[in-house]
Amino acid sequence: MDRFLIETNIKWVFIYMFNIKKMFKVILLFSIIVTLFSFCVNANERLKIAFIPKSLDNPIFLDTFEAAQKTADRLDVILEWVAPFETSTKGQVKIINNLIKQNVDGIIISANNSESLKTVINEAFDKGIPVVTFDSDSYNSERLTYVGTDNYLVGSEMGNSLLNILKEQGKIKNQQEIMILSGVKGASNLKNRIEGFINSINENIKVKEVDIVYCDDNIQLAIELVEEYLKNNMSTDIVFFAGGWPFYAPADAMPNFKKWADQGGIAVGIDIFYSALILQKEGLIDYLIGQDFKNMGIKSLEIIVDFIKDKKEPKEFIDTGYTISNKDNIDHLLKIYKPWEVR
Amino acid sequence: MLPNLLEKLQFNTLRTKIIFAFIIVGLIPFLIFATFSYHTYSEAFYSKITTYSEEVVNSVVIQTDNYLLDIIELFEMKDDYYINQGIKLIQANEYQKNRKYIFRLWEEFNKIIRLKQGLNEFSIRFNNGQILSNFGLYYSAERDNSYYQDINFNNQGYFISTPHYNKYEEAVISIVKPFNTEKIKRVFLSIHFNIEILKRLTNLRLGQQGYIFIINKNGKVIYHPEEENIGQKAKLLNEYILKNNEGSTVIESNQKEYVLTFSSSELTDWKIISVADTTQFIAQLNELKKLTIIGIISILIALTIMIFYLSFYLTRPLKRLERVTEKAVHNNFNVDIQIKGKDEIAKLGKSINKMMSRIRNLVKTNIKEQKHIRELEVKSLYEQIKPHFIYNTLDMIIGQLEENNNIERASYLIESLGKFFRLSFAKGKEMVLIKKELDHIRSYLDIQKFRFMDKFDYLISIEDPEIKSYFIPKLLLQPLIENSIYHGVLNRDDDGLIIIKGYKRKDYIIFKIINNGPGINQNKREEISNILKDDIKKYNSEKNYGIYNVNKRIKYKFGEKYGLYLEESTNNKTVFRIEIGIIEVNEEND
Repeated sequence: MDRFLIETNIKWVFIYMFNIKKMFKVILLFSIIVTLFSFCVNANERLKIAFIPKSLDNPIFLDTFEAAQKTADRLDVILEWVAPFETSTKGQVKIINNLIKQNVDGIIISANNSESLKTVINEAFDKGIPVVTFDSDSYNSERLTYVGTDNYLVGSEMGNSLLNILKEQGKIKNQQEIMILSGVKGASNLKNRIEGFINSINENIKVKEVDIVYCDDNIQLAIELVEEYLKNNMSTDIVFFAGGWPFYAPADAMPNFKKWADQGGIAVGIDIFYSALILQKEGLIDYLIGQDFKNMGIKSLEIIVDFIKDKKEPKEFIDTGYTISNKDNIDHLLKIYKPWEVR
Repeated sequence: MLPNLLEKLQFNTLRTKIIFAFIIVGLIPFLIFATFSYHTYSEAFYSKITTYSEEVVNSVVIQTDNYLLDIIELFEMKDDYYINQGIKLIQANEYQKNRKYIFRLWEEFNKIIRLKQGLNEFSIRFNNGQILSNFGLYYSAERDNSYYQDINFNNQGYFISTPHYNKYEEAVISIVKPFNTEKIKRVFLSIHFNIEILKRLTNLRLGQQGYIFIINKNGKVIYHPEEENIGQKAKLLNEYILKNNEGSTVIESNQKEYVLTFSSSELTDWKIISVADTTQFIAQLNELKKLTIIGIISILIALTIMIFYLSFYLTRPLKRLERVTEKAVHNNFNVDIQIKGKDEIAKLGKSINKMMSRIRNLVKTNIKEQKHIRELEVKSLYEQIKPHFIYNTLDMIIGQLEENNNIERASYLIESLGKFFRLSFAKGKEMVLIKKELDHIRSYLDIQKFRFMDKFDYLISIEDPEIKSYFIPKLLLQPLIENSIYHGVLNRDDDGLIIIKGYKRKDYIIFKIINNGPGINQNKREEISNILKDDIKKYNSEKNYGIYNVNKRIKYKFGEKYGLYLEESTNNKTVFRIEIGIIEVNEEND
C-alpha cells in the first residue's frame, strides 16, 4: 500500500516536472500564501509596551498603572510596568537599556531628569523603538510626544490662586517669604511648575525671599524637610508644594507644619489624592491642583499603539488637563477620591 | 684518556692532584645538597601552593554556602498574607482594582532585598512568564525563560540558575523555589543576587596571576574574573575536575601550565576552582636555580682559592724536600732541612736529615777506607819493590854479564824484571786481570828462582781457566809467594816447591799457595791467625805486614766473608788459601 502511494507521488512529480508552466504557477501561489501567512502572524503578535514611572514607591502613579493595565487589556497589548523602586535617573537609564536589548515595541516614561535621559531615549529611537513621555517630559530628546499636564500652566494657575487667597486674607501687600518643595532637580515638570508659579506671583506681590528645597521624590525625606524648614523658619508666609510628596502623611505626623498652618501660613500644592484632600480639609493646605494620572496612562498607551500600528503621528504635547481643589469643592472631591490604603 | 690528558696538561703534580681532589670532594656534596634542596624546595613550594589553594577554595565554598543559605531562608514566607493575596489577584487578573496589594508587595520585596548585600530582586514568577518584583510587574524576557524551563529542583527543593541579566542589565544568579500552594504550583519565588558578590567572595590573593572561578556540575562557568567567560563552558577544565569533588590537577593551555585546586559545594553543586599560573612559580624556581648556580660558582671560586692556598701551604715542605733531595742527587749531601712542626712531612724531613747524615758518614767512611786501601796498596808496592830486591836483581844481572857473560840469562832476567815492574806500576789501577797477576807472579818467581840458583821450583795450576779473565786486586798474591820462598822453600835442604792453585767454587775464586818448606811452628801459627783476625798491634807489624796487608785488602774489596787463611802447616807443607769474590768487569775501566 505504502509502496503504491510513493510510486503514485513520484508519478505526479514527474508529470509536473515536465509541465514547466504549471510548476511556475504552483511556486508563485505558494509564495503568495507564505507571505500572507507571515503578515497574519505579525498582525497577531501582541505589542509589548513598557511603562516606566519615576519610581515604584510613589503611589501617585498607581492611577496611571491601573488605567494603563485596563487600556492594555483593551488594546490587547502586553504591558510591562518597570521602574526603580526609589526615584533614580540612573536606574531609569539602565531599565531603558534593558528594554532596548529586549526589543520592546514601545516605551512610555516619566523622566526623572530631562537631560540625563535624553541620550538613552535617542538610542531607543535609533533602534526603532518609539518613546512617549508622560508626567515629566524630556523635551530635547527624540521622544514621540509628551502626554501630561501643562506644568507651566498649572504653575501659573497655582500662582493666581495664591494671589486670590492672599487678597482674601488681606496679605497681598505684605512682603512674602516663600518656601518651595520640589522633587528631583532637573525634572522638567517640576521646573515648569515652579517657573509658572514664580512668574505669576512676581508681577503681583513683593517676594522677600524664595527658598527651593529638593526631596528627590522621597516621601519621608519630603516630610522631614518640611518639618525642619518650618521649625526653623516659622515666619515663612507661603509654602508651595510642586508635588504632593508630604501629603501622604497625616497631620499628626507633621506638627510643625500644622502649627505653622494654624498660625496663618498659606500652603498650596500640586497633586490631589485622598490623603491630600484630608489635609486640605483639616486646614493645613489652602489650595490644590490635581493632575490626571489616569488619563496619562490611557492616552500615552493609546498614542504609542496608534503610532506603532498605524503610524499615526501624535501632536507634540497631549494635555491631560487638571483638577482644582478649594474650599468650595473639597467635600465633593472627598466623595470621589478613595484612599489608596498603601500606607 | 683523562689521565693522558692530565699528563699532557702537566696536571700530574701533587699540588694539582690535591686541588682537584679537594674541589671534587668539596663540590660534590655541595652539588648533591643543592640539587636535593632545589627539589625539596620545589616540592614544598608546589605543596604550599596546593595547600594554600585548598584552604582558599574551601573557605570560598563555606562563605558562598553561608551566603546562599541566608538567601534561602528569605524564602520562608509562605504564610505572608500579601503574597498569597497578590498571587491570587494576579492569576485572576483582578489586580487593577486591588492595586494596594501590588504596591505593598513592591515595598515588601524591596525590604527583603535590603536585608542582604548583593540581592537586587525578589520576585514572584507565574507560569505565563509574568513577574511581580521590586522592579515592577513585567514579563520575563525570552532570554531569561530558559532558566525556568525544565527546572530540576534539588533535594532541598530549590534551583540555582546560571548567570543571566536583570532589569538593570546586571549579571545575576537566581535562586528559585516553587511557592508552596498545590493549586498554583507553577508559581515560583525567586531571588536574584548580583554576581559581584561572587567576585567579592572569590577575591582572595592567589599570587600575582592567580584567580578563582566557579563552575556548575556541567562545567558551565558561573563566575569568572573575565566576564566574557561567564555562562560559557569553562576553558580550563578536565575530566578529573568534573568527576571528583575535590583535589588538585595540572592543566596546560596556550603553552602555559596551571595548577587547579578545586572543592565542591553540596548545597549548590558548584565547584570552586582556584587557578595558579605556574609561570610565576617557575619564575621563582628559576630565580632559586639562578641563586643556586651563583652560590655554586661563588663557593667553587672560594673553594679553589682556599684549595690553592692550602695545597701551596701543604706542599711547600714537600717542595723544600724535593729541592734538598735534588741537591743530594747531585752529590751534595751537605744539606740540612729546617724542620718546623710535628706532622708526617716534618718526620719525613727528620728522616731525610738522618739519611743525609748517614750518607755523609758513609761517604766519609768510604773515603777513609779508600784512602786506607791506597795506603795499603802503596805499602804493598813498597813491600814488593824493596830496594834490596831490586839491587840484588840488578847485581845478579850484572854478575851474569860480568862473571859468566851469560847474556841470554841476563836478558831473561831483565825481561822478567820488566814484566814485574810493568804490573807493579800498571797504570795505577787497583784491579788487574788474574791472568796478568799470574804473569807477574811468574816473573817474580823466575827472578827469585834464578837468584836463589834454582833452589826451588814452582808450579802454577789453574783448574778453571775462565778465572783468568776475572779481576783480582793488584799484587795480592806476591807477598804470599815471597813468604813461601823466604820462610818456606829456602829453609829446606833439598829442592823446594811452590805450587799456586787457582779454581772457582760457586761465587768464590780460590787460590792456594802451597810450599813444601819446614812449616810454621805453633807460636807462629797463632801469631798469623791473630794477625789475620786483624789483631796486628800485639805483634811486629813490619815482620808480618805482608799477610796482614793481603788479608785487609781482600776484606776491604770483597767483604768480611772473604780473606786470607792459613789452611795447613806441617813439617813439609804449608798452605795459604785466598778467597776472593768474582769480578767479571773492572769498574775502573768503565
